[in-house]
Order: sequence, then C-alpha cells, then structure tokens
Amino acid sequence: MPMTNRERILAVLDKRSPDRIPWIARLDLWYHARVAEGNLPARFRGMTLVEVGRALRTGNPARDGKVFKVCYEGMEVRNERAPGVARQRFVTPYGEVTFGRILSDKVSGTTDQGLPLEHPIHSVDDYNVLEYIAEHTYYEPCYDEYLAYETAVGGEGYPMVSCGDVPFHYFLLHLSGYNQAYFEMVDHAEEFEHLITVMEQVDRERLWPVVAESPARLILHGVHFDSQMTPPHMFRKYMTPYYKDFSALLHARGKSLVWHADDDSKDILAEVKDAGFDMSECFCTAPMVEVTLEEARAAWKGDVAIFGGVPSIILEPTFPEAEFEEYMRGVFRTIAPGDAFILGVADNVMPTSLIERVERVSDLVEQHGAYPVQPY
Amino acid sequence: MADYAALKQAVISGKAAQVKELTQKALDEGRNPQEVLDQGLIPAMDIVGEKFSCHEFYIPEMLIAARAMQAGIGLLKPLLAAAGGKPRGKVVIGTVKGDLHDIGKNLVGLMLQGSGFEVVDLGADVKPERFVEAVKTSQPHFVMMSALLTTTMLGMKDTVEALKAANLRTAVKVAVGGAPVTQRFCDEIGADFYAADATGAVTKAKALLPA
Repeated sequence: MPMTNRERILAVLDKRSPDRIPWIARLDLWYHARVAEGNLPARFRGMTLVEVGRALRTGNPARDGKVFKVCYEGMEVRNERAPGVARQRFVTPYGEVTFGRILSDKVSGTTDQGLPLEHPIHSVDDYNVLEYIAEHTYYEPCYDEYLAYETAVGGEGYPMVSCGDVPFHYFLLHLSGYNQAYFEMVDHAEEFEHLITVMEQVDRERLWPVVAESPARLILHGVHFDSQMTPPHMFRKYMTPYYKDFSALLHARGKSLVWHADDDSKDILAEVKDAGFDMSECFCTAPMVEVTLEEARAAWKGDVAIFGGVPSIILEPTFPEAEFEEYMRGVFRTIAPGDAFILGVADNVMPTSLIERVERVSDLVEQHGAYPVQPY
Repeated sequence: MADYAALKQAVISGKAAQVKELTQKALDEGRNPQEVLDQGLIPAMDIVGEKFSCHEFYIPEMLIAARAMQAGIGLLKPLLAAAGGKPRGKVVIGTVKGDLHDIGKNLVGLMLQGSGFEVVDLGADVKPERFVEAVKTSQPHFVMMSALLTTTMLGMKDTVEALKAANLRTAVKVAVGGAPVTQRFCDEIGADFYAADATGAVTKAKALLPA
C-alpha cells in the first residue's frame, strides 16, 4: 500500500525513507488566474483547486493552516480595500501608519497576496508608532481551527503554518522596503536597532510560546531571504541569533522550522543551516537564481530538507521541451537516493506555465521517484 | 589639494555627507568638475563594482555607496552641464509592464550614473509604448529593461517588438536583466545584451558605446 503524501512528508521530516519522493506543486496562482480569465482547461472545469491538484497527481501544499490570530489592543485598525489595492491603517496614540499592498490583477479578490505598495516608515517619528504597535500586538491561539484544517487536508499533504518573519527582515520587507531600509539602517541606526529589539522581545514573549505549544509541526517562519538582500554578514548579525533560539525551542517540542526559499540563497546556505532551519520550502534554483540544487545538497546534506527543485521557469513555453526533460533528469540525478527531499515547484506554477509539464513531472515521480531514487 | 583618495574612500564607505563635503572642497579649490568626477567619484564606483563582483559587497553596500556618490554628483551635475560637458552615454531604464520590482533597476541606474551615464528612469510597470516614447524624446544609446517575474518578462519581447514597429530598433541597443532572464531569453527576443547584475550592465554598456 503506497504511503500518503502526509506520510511521505512526515518520513522526510523524521529523516526516514518514504516509499517515494513526495511531489507537491503549488497550483494556486495558475488555478486562480485561469479561473479568473475563464480559460481553465476543459477537463478541470468545475473542479476545486484541490481537485485539480489531485487530477494532476500532485499533493496538497496545505499552506492555509493557522495556529493563532493576531490581535491589537489600544489602537484602531482600519482595513480598506479598493480595486487592486489593500490598505491597513493603524491609528495609535503616537500617530498613524499605513501598510499598503497592490494586488495582482490575476489574483485580486481570490487571495490576500500582493506586493507592498506603501510602507509605514516615512519619517523617524514613525518608529515610535511601530514600537507602540509591536508592544500592543498579541497572539490568540486558534488550535482547533488548525486541527480542523489538518483533518480536511487529510493524507494529501501536511499543513505548513505561516508564523511570521524575523524582525530584521520584516523591517526590510514590510516596514521600510528594501531600498529605503538600508538607508534607514544608516540614517536612523539607533531607532532601527531599538525597534527590531522591541519586536524581537515581543516575538519571544508572546509569539513563540503560542507557536511552540500549538499542534502544528511544520512552522513556516521567514520568507524571501536572499544572498543579496539579506547577505551573509547581515544574516549572521540580525537573523541567526533569533533563529538559533527559535529553532531550539521548536526542536525541543518536536517541531520543524521552515523558511520560504524562493530567492537566491547561494551565499547564505551555511547561514541557513547554522540558524537551525529544518527545511527550505519553495526552494528556487538556477536558472531562475544563481544557486543550484547540487550546491544546496552539498551544503545542507540531510540537515536541511529541500522542498522544491523545479524552478517555475522550466514549465514555461519559452523553455524548450528537451531542456525541460534534461533539467528534470538532472534533478533526479542530484537528489538520489532521495533523502531530505520533497519535489516541488518554486515558487508557484505560474499562470503561463504548461500544465502538461506538471503532469510530466508526476509521471517522472511515479516512474523514477521510488526510494532509493535511481538516476535515469 | 583635492584629496581624491579620501573622496573615493568616502564613496566606498557610503558616507554621503563626507562625499558632499570633499566634493565641495575640491570645487572650492578650483578643481575642474570633470576631474572630480573622473578622479574621485567614477573610480570609487568602479571599486564598489569590483567588490560586488567578488562578493565582498552586496546590494545594501552598493545602494549606500551609490547614494553617497549621488551626493557628489548632485554638486557636479549643474557645473558639468554649464561647462558643456557631455555624459558618457544616455540610457532609458525601466521595469517592464506588470512588474513593480524596482530594486535591480534602481541599482543599475545608480551604477550607470556613477559611471558617467545620463539615466532616464521610467520607473516600474512601464508599458512598451512608454519605452518607445522615451526613445523618441530622449534619443538614448541604450534601453535597459528589468523583470523579476516569469509572467512579466515577456513584456521585454513586447517592447522590442514595439521598438521595431516604430522603426526605432536600430537606433538603440536593448539590454535585459532580472532574476528569470537569461542570455538565451535575450537572444530569443532579439535584445542586444543580457547582464546578470548591475556591474555587468555597466561594463557591457561601456563596451558597446560608439567610439
């Protein structure tokens, strides 16, 4: 009797051998765009996203689990939505700040994903507002909701619970924006250091215990770390201490720490391992970024499991069929015998991807993915 | 006596106020603005580029150095223009339609300016027709396009086609870059060159400038 995807993922996390490598493709962007544009292939019409994944013989990424709700006290939070744009305005005794996101026209209305449009830091005064928000942020457990989600996912996947970001990177990504953030670190060094220290303290005191005591095992914390934007020296200074402590806490409770690795990690492979991460999810490889699967496997061995290996660009019509086949042959060659590996698309099957190639990967997994994987 | 070594070091260290001060000091001493640019600021950014290439510097250091360099350029620019000085070349840059990622594009722009190019920055989410219009009005040597997404990189092809349709394709060299972009994609869409990073874009632009 073949293992379920859930059992395969758990085997990978426990450093046991699954019957074959798990294969889980994120189809949500492709699916929602096709539905929105009315060009979902006829054979998938009327199907849910999960049903399409099933028809394509990939597992369920199960990324919608939650173990807490974020609560704010002592402030007013206004959520505003206009076509293509979402804004969240925080009105505090120290002033107001706004987070704005622009929503992709392909997915607007179907997801809250979006690119930052407006960052809250415009002047040094905004640091006080953000410090107030951090100090008045609480995390309310919703473990029953998680358990219901885990039951709903069943054997088709294993829920990965998104639990935030390290304050330094949250500052880069959400509070200031990458460009300006580096200038802020120089121009307002004291305020920057103070703010991320406060945020980290709040995480340690309020977020970490809620996550650690939760029924979830796969804890996704941190996204888009990148060789260039979070370079090794910054990673070591601002991220490693946080993650060493957080991963130790999670490991003591049998949980696994995962980060979303859809940017280039060539120069931070050692830092990721040292920080205590157990898995790199949506792990993106050349030719989309510099790092190769070979380099990551050599650096991480079995210590950091890889969930990815299929860069979405090789699913595009512009990527020749023969090279796609050769690329996949290389993936199987590199991952053999298959330890610490979940095959996935990094980071998404895109709206323009050839869905036939997703099916082809499913064929390859069925033909060559049995453990121990033999190169073909 | 103008201290170009100190000026270079200030740029490399990203100390904008010091760059401004040293640039002003050199001008106050009667130094030619072009000399200050050629012996102080441009060599500094060359060193920054070298440090980036050997992974001693990363994008944060590049951005901070480029901003420091801009503090000096800001003082020199009006003087160079008044003296009839010409930029090394002119570049229209932008992130293609549908794509809001502009860090790479900004860095390329800053590095080009640091190397003496005039940059016309069209921003992000730039439609092909805006590139065409900018080529008509600015008459650049280069059009440089950036994309971070596989879904938006095809906007580069659309722009190349739009330049062809406007009979402007041979008037400019077209460069492409960004995470999903490759040399092969560059060749497929008929662009002139691909650069993997900002320093590569500057190096190739310099090499392709008309003698």
